[in-house]
Amino acid sequence: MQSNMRINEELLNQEIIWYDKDKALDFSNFIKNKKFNNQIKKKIYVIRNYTCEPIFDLVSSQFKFSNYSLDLKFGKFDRLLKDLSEVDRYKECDAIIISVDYFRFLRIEEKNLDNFKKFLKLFKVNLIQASQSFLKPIIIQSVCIEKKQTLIQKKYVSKTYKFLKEISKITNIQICEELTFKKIYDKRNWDIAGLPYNHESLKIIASNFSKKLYENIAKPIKVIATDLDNTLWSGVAGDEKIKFKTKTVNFEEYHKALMSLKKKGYLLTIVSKNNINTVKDVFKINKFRFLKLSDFILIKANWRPKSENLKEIAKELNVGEDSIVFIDDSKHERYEVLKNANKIRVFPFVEKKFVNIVEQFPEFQKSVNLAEDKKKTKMYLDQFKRTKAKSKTKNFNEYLKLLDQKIKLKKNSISTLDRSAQMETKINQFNMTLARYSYNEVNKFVKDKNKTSYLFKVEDKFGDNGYVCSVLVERIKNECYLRSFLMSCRVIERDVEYNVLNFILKDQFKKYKVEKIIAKVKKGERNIDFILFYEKFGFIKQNYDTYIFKKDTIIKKFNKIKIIL
Amino acid sequence: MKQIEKNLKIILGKFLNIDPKKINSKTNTTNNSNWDSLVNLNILIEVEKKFKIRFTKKEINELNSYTNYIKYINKKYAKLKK
Repeated sequence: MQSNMRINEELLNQEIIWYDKDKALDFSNFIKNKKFNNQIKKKIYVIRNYTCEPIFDLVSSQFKFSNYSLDLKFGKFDRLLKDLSEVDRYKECDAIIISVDYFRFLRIEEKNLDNFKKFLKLFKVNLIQASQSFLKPIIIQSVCIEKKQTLIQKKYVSKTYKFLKEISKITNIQICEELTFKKIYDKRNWDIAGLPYNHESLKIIASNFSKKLYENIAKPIKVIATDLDNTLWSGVAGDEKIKFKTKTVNFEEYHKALMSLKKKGYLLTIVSKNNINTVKDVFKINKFRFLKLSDFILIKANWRPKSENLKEIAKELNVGEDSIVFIDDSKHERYEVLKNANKIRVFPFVEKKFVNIVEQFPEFQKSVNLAEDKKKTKMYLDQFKRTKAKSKTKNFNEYLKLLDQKIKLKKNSISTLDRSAQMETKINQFNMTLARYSYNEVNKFVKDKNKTSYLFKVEDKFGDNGYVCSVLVERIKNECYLRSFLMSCRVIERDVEYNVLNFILKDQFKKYKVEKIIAKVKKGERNIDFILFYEKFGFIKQNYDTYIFKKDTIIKKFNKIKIIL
Repeated sequence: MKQIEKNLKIILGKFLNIDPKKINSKTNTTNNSNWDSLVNLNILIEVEKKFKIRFTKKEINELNSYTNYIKYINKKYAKLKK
C-alpha cells in the first residue's frame, strides 16, 4: 500500500514549504530526487536557445504533485532552428516547448541586423512548418534579454510577437503569457550560466509554463471539493460561534476565490464531517457575502471517511476521480484521502496563502471560457434530475418518452467552430477515430466543398445539454468517409447517436449523391465500449477497422427523435 | 567559522549528490563530474540565500572549489563586520 501511494507522510509535512515563495526552490530540490510510483508519464521536448533547466526543474516538481512525471529532453543552444525544422523526430513526445531568446542570436552573430532579420524570418518559416508536421501542442515562450535594443531591433521583435499571436489563433501553437513585472532579468546569471532570469522570478515563470502545459497534456480538473470547519470559516460549526475574519486570516478571500473558480466552470462541492442540518443552519444564520449554499451542487456532510464521500461524488457527477480537487486544512484528512483514493488531487488549505495557490497552480487555470463551460453547473444539475427520473421509469422506452428530446443541427457553421475543435481534444469515450483534429483542420471541414462538418445540440424536458455531438465527413469521388464521430458522454444511451448517424447518412445520400459510406474505427484505451457502434447500426464489417454502408443496407430499429435544422 | 563550513558542506552535498562528510578541501569542479556550470549556479543561489550575501561576477569566476567558496564567504563576512 505504502509504495503505491502518490504522496507519503514525509512529503505531506514538507508540502507546506512549497507554498512559501522563498522556499519553493528548496522544495523542488527535495522532491526532485524522490521517486513516485504509478505516475502518468509524459514526454516533452524543449527546443531552446538559453538555459532553462532550472525553470523546468520547478515545472516537473509541480507536475509530480499532480501525479505526472515529465520526461524532459532539451535541445542544444545553437540548434534552435535546426531542431524546429526536424520536429518529425519528436513525434513520440506529448508536447513541444519552444523557449527562445531573440537576442541570443544577435549576440552570436556580431550584432548584424541582416542576420537578425534572417534569423527571425527563418524562425517564422520553421515554426509554421513545425506546426504542420507536429500535431500535438506546441507551446512557445519568447523573451528579449538584451535591454539595450535599437529602435529597428525593437520593431522586428514586436512584429514577431504580433506574428506569434496571429498564428496561435489558427494553429496548435500556443503562447505563454508575457511576463509583465519588472525585475525578472539578471545579467549576472546570464553571464555565468546563460540563465536570463533572477532566482526570485523563477517560480513565477515556472508556474506560467506549468499552466499552459497542464492545459494541454493533463486531464482537466472539473470538481472542487472543500472542507468547512477552519477552511470555509474559522471555528467548528455546531460547537462554537464561527467567524469569517480572524486576526490573521480573512476567510472571505477564500470564498471569493471559490466563486471565481465557479465562474470559470468548475463545480463546487462540500465534503465535511458535520451534520447536514448544522451546515444548513450556518448558511442560514450567517450572512455570506460571496457564497451561497446553492452554489455547491453536492453537499456531503456526514461522519463517514472523506475518501468515501469523494468517491461518491465522482460517481454521482460522472467524472473520474482524477478530475477532483480536495481542499482541507487537516493533515490527517488529507492523508486519509491520499491513502484511500489516491487519484484525487489534494491541496492543503494554507491560511493566507490560498489565493496564491489558486493563482499559481495549473489545476485552477482554465483559459478557454466558452459559454458552454459557464453553463456547466446548471447542466450537471439537470443531469441529476434526469438520473432521478430514469430510476422512477419502468423501462428505457418510457424514459425516452419522458425526456421528450429534440436535436438541433448546425451544419458547416463558423460560429460554433470553437466548440467543435474543443470536442476534438476533449472527448475520449465516444470517439470513433481518435483523430484529434486541430482548430485549423476543423476549419477546413467547414469551408471545403468536399467536406462537411455537423454539430448537434440536444435539448430535453429537463434542460439544454449544449452541443454534444460532432461529426466530420469527407467526400472522395462517390465515397463518403466519416473522419470523426464523437459525442459527449452526457447524452450516451439515449439513442441520440443512432438518430444523428441516420440523419447524416440520408443527408449524404440525397444531397451529395454519395454511393458508399465508409467508417473507420481506431481502438483506444477508453473508447472500447463503443467500438461496435457502427456494426450495431447496420454497417457491414470490411476488415478489422473498416465498416461500409450502402444505400440499401438495413438499419437497426431505434427510437426516432426530431432533428431541427 | 565551523558553522559556515558545515552549512556549505550540506549545500554542496545536496547538489553534487554526495555525502557531505566526504567533502573536503580537495573537492573542486575538475575532480567532480556532477559539478557543471548549471549545478554551480544552483549552489551559488543556495549559498547566497543561506549566507545572505551576493557575489560579484569576478568572484563567481573563481568559485570553483570548496576552499574558494569558504574563502569568499569569509571575505564577505569580514567586509560586513567592518
